[in-house]
Amino acid sequence: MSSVISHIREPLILGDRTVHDVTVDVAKSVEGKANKWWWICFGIAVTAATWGVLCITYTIAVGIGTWGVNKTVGWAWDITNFVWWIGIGHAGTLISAVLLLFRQRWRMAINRSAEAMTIFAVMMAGLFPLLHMGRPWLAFYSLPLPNQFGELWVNFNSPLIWDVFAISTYLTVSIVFWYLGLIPDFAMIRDRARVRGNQMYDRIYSLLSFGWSGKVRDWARFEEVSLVLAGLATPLVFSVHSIVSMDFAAAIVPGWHTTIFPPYFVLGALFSGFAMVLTLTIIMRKVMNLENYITIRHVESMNFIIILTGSLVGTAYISELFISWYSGVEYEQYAFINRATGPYYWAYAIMMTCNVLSPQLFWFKKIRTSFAISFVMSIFINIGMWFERFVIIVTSLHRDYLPSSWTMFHPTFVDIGVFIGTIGIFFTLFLLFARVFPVIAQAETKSILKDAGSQYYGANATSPPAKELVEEKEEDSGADAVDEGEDEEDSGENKTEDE
Amino acid sequence: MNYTFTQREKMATYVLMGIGLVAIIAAFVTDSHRAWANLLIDNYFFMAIALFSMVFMSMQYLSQAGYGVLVKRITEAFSQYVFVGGPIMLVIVGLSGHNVYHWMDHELFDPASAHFDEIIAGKAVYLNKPFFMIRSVVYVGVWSWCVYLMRKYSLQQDLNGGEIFHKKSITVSVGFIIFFAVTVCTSSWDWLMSIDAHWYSTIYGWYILVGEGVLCMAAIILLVLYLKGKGMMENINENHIGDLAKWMFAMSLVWSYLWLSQFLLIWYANIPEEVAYYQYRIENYKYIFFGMLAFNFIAPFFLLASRAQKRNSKYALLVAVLVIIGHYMDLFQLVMPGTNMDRGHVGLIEVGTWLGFLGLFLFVTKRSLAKASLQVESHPYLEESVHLHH
Repeated sequence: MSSVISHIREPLILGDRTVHDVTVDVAKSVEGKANKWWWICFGIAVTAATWGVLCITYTIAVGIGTWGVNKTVGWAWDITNFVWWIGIGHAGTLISAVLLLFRQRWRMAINRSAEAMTIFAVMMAGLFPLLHMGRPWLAFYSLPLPNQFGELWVNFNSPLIWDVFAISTYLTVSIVFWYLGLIPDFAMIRDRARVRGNQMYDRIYSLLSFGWSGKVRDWARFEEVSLVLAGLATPLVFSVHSIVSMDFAAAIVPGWHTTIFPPYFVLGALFSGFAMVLTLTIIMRKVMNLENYITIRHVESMNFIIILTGSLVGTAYISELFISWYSGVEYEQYAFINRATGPYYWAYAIMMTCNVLSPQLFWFKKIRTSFAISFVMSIFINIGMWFERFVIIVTSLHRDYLPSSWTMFHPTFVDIGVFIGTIGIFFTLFLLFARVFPVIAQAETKSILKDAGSQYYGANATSPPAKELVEEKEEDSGADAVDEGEDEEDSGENKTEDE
Repeated sequence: MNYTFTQREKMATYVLMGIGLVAIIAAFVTDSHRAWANLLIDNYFFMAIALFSMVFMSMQYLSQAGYGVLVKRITEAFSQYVFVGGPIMLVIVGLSGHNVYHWMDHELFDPASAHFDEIIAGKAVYLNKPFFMIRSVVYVGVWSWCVYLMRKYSLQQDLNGGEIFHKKSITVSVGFIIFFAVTVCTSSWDWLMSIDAHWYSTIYGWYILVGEGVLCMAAIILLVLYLKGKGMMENINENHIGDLAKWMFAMSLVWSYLWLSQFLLIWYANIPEEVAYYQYRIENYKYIFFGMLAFNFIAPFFLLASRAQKRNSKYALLVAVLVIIGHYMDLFQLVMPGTNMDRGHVGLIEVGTWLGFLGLFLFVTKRSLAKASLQVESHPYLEESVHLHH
C-alpha cells in the first residue's frame, strides 16, 4: 500500500460516510427490524430447506436406493453437489486470507459475508458424502480411531480419507478466521446496546465479543493473529480442492486421470466461489441497504477475478481436450469425444458456454460495471460450474470399459430434493447470519475510510485529503477505535485507542 | 537518473559471448545432440525471463497494481531479449532436427519402415515440421509485436505524459495475456514436451509458465540490487524488495505445488505410458531431479517465509541465485534425458554455453536500459510506487 493514492483510482466507500455513519449503517441490520424483502427471501429459503430435510430423512430411512445412482454411475448428483459446494466455499478464504496478504482493500466490504458463505457452503458439502455413506451414523469410521475390530484402519492411501482431513481443517480454520474478525464488530454492537440500555443484546454480545476493549494491545494482537491465520489459510485454499480433485485424478478412469486436475479444480473453485459471492452481495446490498459499501468497484474487482479464473479454466478445458487426443490413448480420446458429442453433449455445451464463453463478456467495461448483468452472469456461472462437475463425474462413468455396463443416469425426486434442500438450508443460514452478525467488517472498513471514502478522495471529493484531517471526534464507543488513527499508517496499523 | 552502458561492461558481455561461442563450437565438434540441447536449454532459460517480464507488466496493468512501477524499466529491458532470443529459438527448432526432436525422423511415420512408431505416427497431424514451424513463427512474431508496442507506449508516455498511453498499454496487456495464456501452453508442448514424443501431461504448460515466473522474479531482484549497488534506483527500498521477494516466494511455492501435482498423480496412477518419463529421470538423473527441489522449494520456503527475510536484500539475493541454479536444473532435466539419453551431465560445455547466453542477455538488457530513464517519468501509479510502504 502506498501513502499516496493515484488520482485515477475511484473511491471504495460512497455517500460521504463518516466513521459514525459506518457504525450506524452496519449496526442497523442487527438492531433494527427485518424488512419485507428479508422475510420473502427467508420464507422461500425455509420452504426449500424443509423440503430438503424431508428428502434427507427419507434417504436416511430408506437408503441411497432412493437416489438415481446405479452400478455403473455410482457417483452422480451427490458428488457433483459435494464438489460444487466445496468449490463455492473457496472464495471466502481467498478473500479473507490471500487478498489480506496482497493488501487488497476492496476485500473489506465483502469479506465477512464471503467467509460466512464459505462456512455454510462447506457444511452443505459435507452433507453429501455423509449421506452417500448410506449409514451416516457410522461416519466416525472415516476417522483413524483405535478400535476393537482388529486391524481395521482407514486407508491412508486413499484421497477420500485425505479429504476428510483437508475439509475438516479447512472448516476449522475458516470458522476461527471468521470469528476473529467478528470480535471487534460484536464489541461495537455490545457498546451500542449498553448505551441504549438494551440488556439482552448487551449480555449476548458481551459474551460473543470476549471482552474486547479496543485498546492498542488488543488491536496489535488482532493484527498479528490475522496474519498468522492468513498464512495458514492460504495453503488451505490450494490443498482442499487439490485433494478433492485427486478423488478423481488418482483413479484410472478416462477423463479423470489427468495431471492438470489439482490447479484446474482450485481455479474452478475460485471461479464458482466468486460467482456465488457476486450473487449474494448483489442481493445483499439491496436487501440490507448497503449500496454505499458494496459498490460497482467491488463488483468490477470480483469480475476481474472471474475473467482470470474463468479463462484459466478455459485453457485447462482446451489442454485436456487437446492432450486427450495427443496422448494417443484410445480410451482417453473416446472419453472426450463422448463428452462433447455423446448423450450428455448438452451438459458439455452448457458447461462450455457458461464457464468459458460468458465470462469473456467481462472484458467490456460496460458489462462488468453493470449490477444487473453481473448478477445474471453470476447465476450462469453457478449453473455452468455445477454442470462442469456433472460432466466430469457422470459422463466419465456412464461409459464403462465394458460396453454391457453402459447406461444413463436419471435423477430421482430425492436427488433433486436434497440438492434444492441444501440451497434452502444455505440461504436460511445466510439470511439468519445477516440479521444477527454485522455483515460488513465495520472496523476494517473504517480503517480505509480516509483512503477510500468518496468525500476525501476521488473525482468528486468534497473534503480535503485524509492527511490534513487529523482532528475529527466521534461520540462512539470503544469499538470505534479506528477513527483516530489518521496517522496515515498502513491500513493494518492505524488502529489506536480512543480514550 | 540514467544508466550508462560503459565500455568496460560491454567488453565483459563480449567476453562472455566469446566463451559461449567457444563452448558451442566445442560441443558441435564432439556431440551435436549435446550442442543443440544446450542451445535450447539456455535460450529457453533467458526467453523465460523475457516473456515473463512481459506477463508481469501486463498483469500490473490489468490488476491496476501500483507497487511495481519503479521496476517497469527493468522488466521492459528484459523483455527486449525476445527480439534476439525469438529468432534464435526459431533457428534451434528449425535446424536441430532429430538431434532434439526425435519425432522429426521421417521413418517413424512410415508404416513400411522398421522404425515405424504407431503412437508418434498418430500425432502426425500436429507433430509435423511445417505446422510446427508455422506455430513457432506465430508465437515469436506475436510476442515480439506485443513487446514492441509495450515499449513504444512506455517511451511515448515518458515524453508526452497523460493517460492515453496508459490506456493503450492496458489494451496491449489484454491482447498479450490472452494470447500468451494459450501459447505458453502450446509453445511448451511444442518446444519442450514433444522432445519426449510419447509422453504427455496436461499440467505441463502451467508448470513451465510458473517456472518462468520464478526465474523472472529472481532476475529482476538481481538487476535491481546490482543497480542499487551502483547508487542508482534510489527510490527502491526494502518495501519494493519485499514485494518482489514475496513474488519469488509465491511463485516458487506454486511451482512446487504444480510439480507435486504432476509427480504425485503420475506416481500414484502408475500407468506405463506416463510413469516411464519419471522412471527414466529418477534412474539416470537422480541428483538433478531431486536436487532441484532443494533449490526451488526448500530454499525459498525457509529463507523467505518471514516478512523480515523478504525485506532483507541479502536473503533476496541469496534465494535469487539459488532458484536460478534450481531452474536451470529443471530445464536441464526437461530437455537432456530426451535428447542425450543417459549421457547428459553438467560440464564445461554446459557452463560455457550458459555464460555465452548470459552475455548476450546482459548485452541486450543493458543496451535497452541505457536508452531510457531508469525510472519511468510519467505513470498514473508512479507516486504510489515511490511512496510504497507496508
